[in-house]
Parts: sequence; structure tokens; C-alpha cells
Amino acid sequence: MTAASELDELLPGRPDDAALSAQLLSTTSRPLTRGWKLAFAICAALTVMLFLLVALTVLRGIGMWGNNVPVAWGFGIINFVWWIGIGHAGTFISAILLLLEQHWRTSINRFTEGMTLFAVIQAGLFPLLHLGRPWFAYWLFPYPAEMDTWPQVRSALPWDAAAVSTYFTVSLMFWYLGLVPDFASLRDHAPTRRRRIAYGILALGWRGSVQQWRHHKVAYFLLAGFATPLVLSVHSVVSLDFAITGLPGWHSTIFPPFFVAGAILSGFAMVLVLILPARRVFGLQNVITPRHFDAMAKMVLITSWIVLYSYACELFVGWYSGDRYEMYQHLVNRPFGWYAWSFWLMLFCNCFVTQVFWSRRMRRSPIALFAVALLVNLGMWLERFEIIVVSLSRDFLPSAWHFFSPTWVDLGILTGTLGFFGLLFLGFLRLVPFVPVAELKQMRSELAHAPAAHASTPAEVEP
Amino acid sequence: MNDASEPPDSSLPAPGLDRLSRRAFFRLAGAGAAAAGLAACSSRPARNILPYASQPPEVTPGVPLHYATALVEDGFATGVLVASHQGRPTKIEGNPDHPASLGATRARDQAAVLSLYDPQRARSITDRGAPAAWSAIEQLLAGARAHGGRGLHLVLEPTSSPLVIDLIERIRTALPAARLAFWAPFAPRAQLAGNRLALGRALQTQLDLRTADVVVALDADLVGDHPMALAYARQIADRRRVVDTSSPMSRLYMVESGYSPTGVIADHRLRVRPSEVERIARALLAAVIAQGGRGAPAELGAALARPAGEPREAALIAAMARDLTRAAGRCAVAAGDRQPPRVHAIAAAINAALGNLGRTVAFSEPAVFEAGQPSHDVAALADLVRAIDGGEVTALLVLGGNPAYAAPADLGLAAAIARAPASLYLGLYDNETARACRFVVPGLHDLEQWGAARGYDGTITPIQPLIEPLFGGRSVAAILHELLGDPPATDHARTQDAWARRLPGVDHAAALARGTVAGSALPAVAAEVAWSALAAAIAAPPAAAPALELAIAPHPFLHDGRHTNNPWLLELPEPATKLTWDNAAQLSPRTAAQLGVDTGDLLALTVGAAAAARTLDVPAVVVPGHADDAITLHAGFGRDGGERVARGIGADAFRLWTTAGGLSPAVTAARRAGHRELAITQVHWQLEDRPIALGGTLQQLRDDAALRDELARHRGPQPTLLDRFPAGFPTQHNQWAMSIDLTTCTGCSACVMACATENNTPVVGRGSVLNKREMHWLRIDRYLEGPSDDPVVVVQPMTCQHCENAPCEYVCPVEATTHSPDGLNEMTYNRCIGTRFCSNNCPYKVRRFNWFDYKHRDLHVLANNPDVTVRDRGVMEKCTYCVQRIRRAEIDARIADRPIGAHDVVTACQAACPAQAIAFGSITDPASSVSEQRRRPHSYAVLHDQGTAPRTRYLARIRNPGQLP
Repeated sequence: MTAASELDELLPGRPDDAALSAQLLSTTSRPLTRGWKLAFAICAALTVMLFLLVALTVLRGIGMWGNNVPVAWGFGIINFVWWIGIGHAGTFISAILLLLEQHWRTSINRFTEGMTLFAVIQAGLFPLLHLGRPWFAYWLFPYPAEMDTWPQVRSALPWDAAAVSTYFTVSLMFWYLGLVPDFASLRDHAPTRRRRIAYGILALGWRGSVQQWRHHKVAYFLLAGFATPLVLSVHSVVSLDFAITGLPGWHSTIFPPFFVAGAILSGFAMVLVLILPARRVFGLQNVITPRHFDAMAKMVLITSWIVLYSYACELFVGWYSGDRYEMYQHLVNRPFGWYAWSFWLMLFCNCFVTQVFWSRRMRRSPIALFAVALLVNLGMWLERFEIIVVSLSRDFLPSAWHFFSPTWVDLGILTGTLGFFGLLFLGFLRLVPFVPVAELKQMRSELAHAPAAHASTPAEVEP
Repeated sequence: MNDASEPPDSSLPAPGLDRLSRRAFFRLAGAGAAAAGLAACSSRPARNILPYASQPPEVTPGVPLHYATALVEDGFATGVLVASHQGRPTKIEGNPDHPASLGATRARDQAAVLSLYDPQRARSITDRGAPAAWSAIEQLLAGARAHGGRGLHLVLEPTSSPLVIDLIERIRTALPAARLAFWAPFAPRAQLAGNRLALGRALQTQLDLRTADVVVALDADLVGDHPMALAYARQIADRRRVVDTSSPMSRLYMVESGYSPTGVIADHRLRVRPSEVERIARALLAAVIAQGGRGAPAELGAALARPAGEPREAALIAAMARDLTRAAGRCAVAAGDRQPPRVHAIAAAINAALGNLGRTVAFSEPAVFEAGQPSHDVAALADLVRAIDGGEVTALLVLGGNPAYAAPADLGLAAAIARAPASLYLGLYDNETARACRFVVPGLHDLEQWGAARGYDGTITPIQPLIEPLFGGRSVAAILHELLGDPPATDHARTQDAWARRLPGVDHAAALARGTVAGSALPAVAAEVAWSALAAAIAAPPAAAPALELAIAPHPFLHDGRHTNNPWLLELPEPATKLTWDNAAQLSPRTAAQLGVDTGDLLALTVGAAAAARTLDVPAVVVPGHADDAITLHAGFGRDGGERVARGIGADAFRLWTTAGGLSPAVTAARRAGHRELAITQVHWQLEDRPIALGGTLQQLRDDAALRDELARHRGPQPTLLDRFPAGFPTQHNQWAMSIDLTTCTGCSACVMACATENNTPVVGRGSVLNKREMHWLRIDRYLEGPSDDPVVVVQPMTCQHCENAPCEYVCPVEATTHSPDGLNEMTYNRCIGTRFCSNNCPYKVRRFNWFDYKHRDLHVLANNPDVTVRDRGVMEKCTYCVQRIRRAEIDARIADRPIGAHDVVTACQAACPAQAIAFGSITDPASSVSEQRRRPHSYAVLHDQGTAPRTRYLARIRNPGQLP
């Protein structure tokens, strides 16, 4: 594919800089529609519910959740892993695809980075809340304690805390750094003085000089370089929370790559779930195109196969190990045990329905994409349910086996995080240009002048 | 606390704040302070208190003292030692010198401290619920004294106390017209009646199983539900302990309906309905006579001989007869008290025919006063009801027990008591009987009173209080004294006085110190079986069994309901079903299928027909191994008194107890719409072919290398790529370890309760147990092997294994669980943040988490062991090997400048175990019992394949079944 035809696919009509600015910056200043207000109100209400339930959990105790012994981890850790997995697509798209010079990432990278941040915020609630004594959560960090106590580094949890907080920090910096030129644009286009001041502060004095662009680009690529290993490391470390144990169903060396693939699968699915309605509502058909869908659907298909391969590996290794506990877990308990429905539904969602993306038509059909993406998100939640609850409910001593069932607080907190996520996301859509205007212009000019000049200078782009 | 004469602060004039001048303020403040001072004066004790300036020689703050006393149930004493922390009793241990304890305790004995501190105990004298003064009681008793006691009726609990007996005899003399009844629903009656049939006298059977090579229990739960169960459990265990491949082992046959602890350890178990036991007993007697029983007329055997029943039953009876005959004089046959007198008579006859009398079986006078006499029968209560209805009763004194609840329902005793013109109840609780009576006087807990009682074997056991009566209660003796019009005296003075009169020459102080009166056991009575009378008594064949029969059984922990307000006992899983906080109709899988019910489905049980029909709705619980066409229902639930914990839990089995039907009536059952989620702590009962509860037969252990190799594979070093522990653990410290013998463990759960009382583990309630959040550090796992309708049960105490290579330790992010140099896996509660990662990685799932704040908030805090941290919400906890006892022993040894002895550390579970199935000690000491047990051929580690190197080892469950002909 030539650069020109790629540009036509990615940016049909090749709008010029002024048109792009007008279209993409206007999302922050349009009058609020009734639908948006309604959505915001629902999300705000769910957020309030979330924090009330969090308060209840902290005041009364973690017993408000459905966890028990043997299933000492339940919805809390499922939700944590699910949300942190969703957070993976953002950095994958913005950092890895940037380094790989995938132009199609440009229109959607800001969007997915926002999603990453908000998903990690949801995820970050859970390791804190699921503690018996959450007020001592800082003991997980190696701070200079006066009694010379340190975290116990053979456990995966201090690493987990470090990985997730690093990931959040780098993602936030990466996201903000990309936003700086667009904040400057907003400042310059701001209709009111107050907005000009606010965006002016956020723009950190961006003037669009060549010097600034050069520093920006270097910093951006550097951060992309930092973020890239994090995409792989964070979920790998999360997977070690399980893999370092001896529990059948957890005790598995395949977990790190398996978790990363699953995370990217669920992350892309969540991007699709969010971007399809946003594109329609904000009329962005010219910047978010079937070409983008196509690429994302292929990612879903690929990661879905990796996940399927991992499931198959688990089953095979469970049998091949000859270990009676592993065999029972993988060949009896999961497919035919108390929670068999979740196993088969998970397979259906994560591995079966995604096969529709072999069809080009399906890869470009918003309805199919939306439906499959929703199912994949359900399936990935079930996968974590499978790993955590189903494995724990039947481990070594049959006398200790027991069911898990969530309480209304569990369900309320899960729903509440969806609302909180939505609230942050709706705010993001209103306050920030969620398609990176400067980068898009840059891409347009790069692709438009591709044969002539690879070294398109940022100076061409108006700030 | 205020005297009425003092002006309370609020009675002072209250000027408006705006007009409150500085002077007025100081005036008011001064008056307030003075009033507060006066109020403080009034709560000062009447006499001067003294500072602890010179410490009594026996008291060291922080070090508990132990006092010997006894807990009494149905008149039988179990000698105990009670630990007292600065005057606060906290822990009960068995008295090793007491023949009914031998150092062990039952679960309900352990729980007695919680009952002592029960905030719902009756606190004041009441008259129809309103506070009353003692003078009202004095008046009532003075009135009852008039006319030689005419119209005076007393209902007492069965008593063996020489002191109370003394009073009763004085009352009989002074008030000849007074009528006395003794009532406890599960007091042994059938045995005395049966011995009267066989021997001509109502004698009590005394077993001595120390020399019994063969024991046949006919519905007799010798190690679980018997006044002498602790001693019998020890005696049986001593004959069954496998030390090496040459160890002899007794053989135990059990014939029963439900699955009792005795059934668990039996080598052969025949499940039959209660009414069929007589058939088995008759066939056994016939078979024993046929094989040459001594002194027994052959024609009796011929008369009893019946065509053999189903093949397995016939084979088992033949095997029993063969083994008994071979071991004549070294065997015993026992009958359970649920069985009718005829079965007891047959058991006596079999023992006589085998020449066991005077060897393993002896007879004595009953330990309980007038036991076996009409005053102990249901008829005595029926007479009382008749007398009330006939207007003959002017005063009714119910001293202890709870007859309004625990008696045949068709007597209408509660209503009758309520109709009595004047009635008094002395008891611990505002229970059903208290509510029926006019006056209620708070009673005394066993740990609050002076007295004495006899053990089952007759040993006189003095009782001394560990604490002043918490709620100012009165003893039975005090009421009886008052009734006699004696001058007032303290219970202590009365006790010493009566002791001097009844037991001349026995040093009271010495007996109190030791907890028993040596040599006071009742002497054996020479008794011969009167064969012709016996033959006549059992000539008629047993009545045909009904289609479905019910057994109303005492609950293993709550007994007849007297302990139902004790949350510890309610949350202790019932051994056969693991059910907590409820009772349920236990039935076999086949009977459940026939009735169309599964565990939790409601059943309507109906006893009696037509107008007299009594119906009770209870949930079913399926118990593999239960007899078909029979239902076992535990008593003690469905309480309707003022005890808030007990009230409304479960179903009242006594409502199906009629004078006609007795405790094993014919019953009809029908599926009832509805389901009750039962708080059962174990949901999966199969071993799934995992190396958890290993076992085999004695024959295999001796001859079968395969079993020995199999067991050897489950201990010893594991192949490893790691070289972390090249030379094992360090040996410069003691290395603590435990060994649990699955052969002798009966699953009685005394250890579980002992652990809970020692370690302050909380009660979580039914709802939390339903969600598998019970907090017991020690649990008894129960596995079923073999056919689902008639499985062999293996019970396995499971607690922290103190793995040398502990999976919990490396996953804790904050190092809250670590290893001590002496091999303990320790929890640092203050460091725990509650990630629960350790629990997830524990293959034994023995860690417990404080999901909520479970700490006691009320008077129950006094039952806490001050040596053990009370855990807060959000932290993990688990078995510590009773680290506080280890450290105490270390301190004692260090003060005495000697090494710790092999038996210096006794864990709470180990101390309570009647079968001595738990050994504890250091494996660096080759002489310790735990070292010795680890060298036995059947020692193994649970989940050895996981490489956790657990410090707790198990001795495989070895059975000694015989060849079935």
C-alpha cells in the first residue's frame, strides 16, 4: 500500500489543518446534549454508589464481599486483573505501534491512552480495597520504615504494586506529553478567557517552536520506549500473583505471555466498545475509519488465537504433567465442575465468536465489532473468574472445597467501577481533544509528502 | 449503684445558662463534685479492700493456677482441672486422677467456661418476670414446709451428691408428705431396668475395656455418648494403638443406626435400625450359647435361634460370636441406652455366657441416688401432672434441669407447671421451665458452687467454686436447706458440715486438692444372671419393626438442650454431618431417595395417629452409612425460652416424644415444600484418590509390603533440584512437631473445642458458616470410602501442618508469616495486612481470616485466654502449635535451669483428646513420643508430594477386620 492510498484510507477527504482543528477541537466546546447529560448522570450516580460501597467495605470489613476460605480472592482480584488487562491496549497502541511506525494508531491513540489511565484507576482500587487492613497498604512499598521492615520480595505482591504504580505513572506522563501541543491549540482557539487560562496552564508554555517540537518528539519516543516493556511486564507481574503459587490452575509457567495476550485482547475489545459510539456521536467517520477497525479486529483475532493456544496448553500440560491435582483441575473441575458454565461461556466468548473476524466484512462492520467486543470483555472477565474462583474452590484437600458466591456489595462495586470509568471517560471526551490533532496533522503531512520527504518537520504543523 | 437516698445531679435547680454567674457556676460544680463523690462511695464494697501488697504465696500474676473440681451431667461427675487467671477461670482440662476423665474432656466440658460467662444467664429473683426479693422465696418455702410437706412437690435433676442426698433424706424425714421426682431426659434408665431383668437388681454396668480383645457395641456409643465415654475411649484406644507391625489390636464391632464416633473407629460396623438391634442381640446370644456359652441353658439358645437374616448380617453375627467365644473372658458386649431393657438384659446374658463377669464387666449399685426407681421414671412426671390437675399441689419446686422442655410432649408438663398455684424454678437461664414457673431464682454454674458428686464408677468428686457467683445465684442445697428451715449459712459451711457427716474420716481439703476421693468407687456387686427369669423376659420375639422409625438422640455437644445457649457448641460441627447451628433429620441416601428429599429439603415428621398425631418440620440431611428406613434427630434445638442465642434455632425433637412412643417411635415422613440452607462445613466427602487419609488393615501392615512401601513413599526426603535444606532443619533448638493417630481418633471434636477455648478463636454465626468462614484453627475432616450407602468413615484432624517448606511464607508480601528457629510457622498479627495470599497458597486450607471484627463485646470476654492475642479484623490466623504453652514451658525450664522435658509441652488439643491420638514434642529429642511415632511404619505426611515437608505427621488409619465366614 502506498502512503497516499493509506492516507486516503486513514483520513478520507484529506481535510486540511484548519478543518481538522475546527472539527477535533470542537468536541471540548460543543453545547452539552441531553444524551450526554443523561449518561453523565448515570455514571456519576454509579460512582457515588461505588464510593459508598467502598466506605461500607472499609468500615465493616472485607467480609461484606463474598470471599471465604478456600476462595480467599474473589471479585476484588478478578476485577483488578480485568481492568488492568483492559488498560493494556492503550499503551500497546500508543507506544508499541508508535515505535513500529503504524500510522493507523494516530487517530485512536489518545483515546486508548485515556482508557488505559481510567482502567488502571479502577484496577488500582482493588488491590487496596481487598486488603483486610487497607490502611496499611503502604507496607507493600519499600519505604524507609523506622523498624527496618521491608516488603518480602519473594512474594509477587510488592512487585505487583510497583509494576502497576509504575505503569500508571508512565502512562499518565505519556498521555500528558502527547496532549501538550493540543492543549496549546485549545488555548489558542479558546472562546473564553477562563478556558484560555486553564488550557494555557496545561499547555506548559508550548509555543510550537522547532526546538520544542524536537524535544517533544525525543521525549515522546523515549517515553514510548519506557512504556513498551511495561506493556509486557505489568501483566506478566500480575500473572505472577498466581504463577508463583503451588495451586493447581495457578501453578503454570505459561502465565506471563498468556496474561499479556489476554490483556491485549480485552484492551482492544474495550477500545472498540468505547470508540464505536464515540465516533458516531461526535461524527468522526473521517478520522476513525474502517481501516482502523480492520486493524483492531485483526489484533483481536490474533490475540484470541494466542489465548486459545494458551488454554490448550494449560489443558495439555495439565494432563501431560501426570500430576493428579493438575489433571483434576484442568480436565475435571473446570470443564465439568460446579462452574462448568463459566468455562464453556469463556471459550465461546474469547475464542469462538472472534473467528468472525476472518471475514473482512465483519472486521469493518461496526455492529459486529461492537457485539464481539462486548462478548470478549465478558469472556475475559470470566477467564479471570475461571482462574481465581474456580481454581480456589477445589484445590488439594476435598474437605476444604467450597463454593463462592458474590454478595450484592461485590456486584455493586463491579458496576460502580464501570460507572466511575464511564464518568472519567465522559469527562475526558468533554475536556480534552480525544483525537490527537497535532499528531494527525503530522501524519497527514508525512503521508502526503511521503515520497518526497521522510523528514517532515513538525514546523509545518500549526500549534 | 446509687442509693435512692442520694439526690441525683439532675434534681439540682437548673438555672438558665444566660443567668449562670461565676459564683453560681462554682456552686453547682462543687455540688456536682460532692454528689459524684457520694455516688462513688455507694459502690465501694461493704468491707475494706486490701491492696495486693503481700502477694499470696500461690499466686504469681500472669501465671494461672489450676483447681480441681467437677462438671456434673445427669448426676455423673467428670473431674476437671480449671485454669484460673487471677481469679478468672478461663480453661478447663481433664483431671488425670479422675477415673471418668483420665485427663481428657468432652467438647461440652471445654465449653463450660463460655456458659459461665453467658450474659444471658438469669440474674435476679423474679416473680412472674418482675423483680422479687428473697423474702418472697422464704415465704413460699415456709408455706411449703407446713403440714409435713403435704402438697409440696419437688423435681430435681438426678443427683449423686452425698451432700444433696443427705438433704433429701432429711426432707423425707421432716416432710414425709412431700413428693420427689428426679428428671433428666437422657439419664440412663434402660440399662438399670435391663440388669434388673437379667440379674434381678437394678445395677449399673461397669465396663473395664483395658483387657478386652473384642468389644461388641449394640447401639452403644461407648466413646461418644456415655457418662464414662472418656475413660472407655482411652481404654479402647490403648488396645488399638499400633506401634509396630507386631502390635496387637483389639477388634471392635458396632451395631448402630446413625454414624457415631464408636462407629467411626469400629472394625466392623453393621448399620441397622434401632429396633433391629434386639434381633441382632438375640441372634448373637443364641450363637454364643451354641458355641458353648457357660452356664447358659442350651434351650434358651435354641429358642432364640432364628433363620439367618441377610447374608452380611448373618456373617457378621457369626464372626462376632466366633471372636467373642475365642476371647471369652477378654471381651465385652455393651448395649446403648436408647435400646430397650431387653437388649441390656441380653447383653448381660452374653457377657455372663462368655465368662466376662468380674473380668471386663462388673456391676455396681447405681451411682445416682435412687436411679432405677420409680422416682426417675416418666411416670413420676405424669403423677406430678395428675397431682397438679387434681389440685393436690400447693407448692412446686423445680430445682435445675428443664423439664418443661425436655420431657415427653404429651405430658403437657409446661402447661401443668403454669397451672400450679405456687411454683419456683432454680436454674441458670430464663428457659421454658422458668417461664412456666412463678418464681425464678438464679442458679449456680458448676464453676461457682460447692458440692460433690460421684463419677459413673462412683468415685466421689468434690466440687469447689472457681469464682464468686457472677449473678448472685443460689445452689440446690441452699434451697433445700431453706426448705428445711435451717439457720442460714454459707454454701461452704454447709458443704463442710455435710461432708463431715456423710463422709467421716475423708479429708475434705485433701480431696479438694486432688479432685477425687481415692478408693471411693462403688464396689462391684456379685451378681448372677437368673437364666429362667431372663428367658421368660425375652421369650416374646421383638415387635415387628415399623416402616420408618425415629431415634431422638442427645446432641453430642448440646446433650438435652442445656448447652444450647452456648455459641461455641452451636458452631462446633456435629461429627456425623458437620452441621452447625441446626439439627436435621439424618437419613440414609436410600431413604432420602425414597422420600424424595436431599440435604436441606424439609420433611414433615409425624408421630402417633389421628388426633394424637404430632408433627414436626425439619430439614433432612443425608448421612451415608445411616441405617435405611430410620431417622436420627438430635434433641436440644427448637428452644422457646428466653435464651436469645438458643431461641428459634432448629426443631424441637422432644415434641415427637410421647409417653407411648418413647424416644424411638414409629414415624411417618413426608416431603414438605421448602428448603433450608444448612450450615455444613464440609461439602465434599470423597478422597478423590489423593494421598490424604491413608490407611489399611493390620494384616496388610504386617504382611503386605505394598502398603508399607506406599506409606514410606509419603514420608522421608523428596527428590529435589534445590539444595536448600541439605542437612534438614537446624538442631540447636527444639524442633516442635505433632503426630496424629488416625487409628484411634474418633472424631469426637473435643480437640476442636479445646483449641477454640485455648486460642480465643471467635464464633462467626450461621450466616458466616454458610459462606465457609468458620474460624476453627483445628477441624476434623471426614472422608467416606467404599459404597455410598455403607461407607467406611475416616476422620482426620486437620490444622496448620507447620511445613518446613511453608508455601504460605514466601507469598506474604509483608513477612507477616515466617518461620521460627524452633520450626514453628508463625503469624505476626500486627504485621498482617490481610492479602490472604497465604491462604490461597496453603494446600491444607487451614488458615483463617477475620472477615469482620469477631471479638467478644460482652461478658464473654472473660473467657478469653490472656496468654493469647485476640485478633483484630482483617488479619489472618491459624494454629500456632499452642506457642504460648511452648514459651511457658521454656520459661519454666529456664527458671529451673533444666532442659525442657519430653512431655513438658502439651497442646490444648492433645490435652483434651480422650484417645490420646495427638502427640506433641520435639523431634530433636529422640525420646519424645513424637519422635517415636515418626519412626513407626505407618507414619506419613499429608500431601507429601507437594514438598511442603509438614511438621505434623499422621499415623495411618489401621483397621483390624476379621474374616467373615
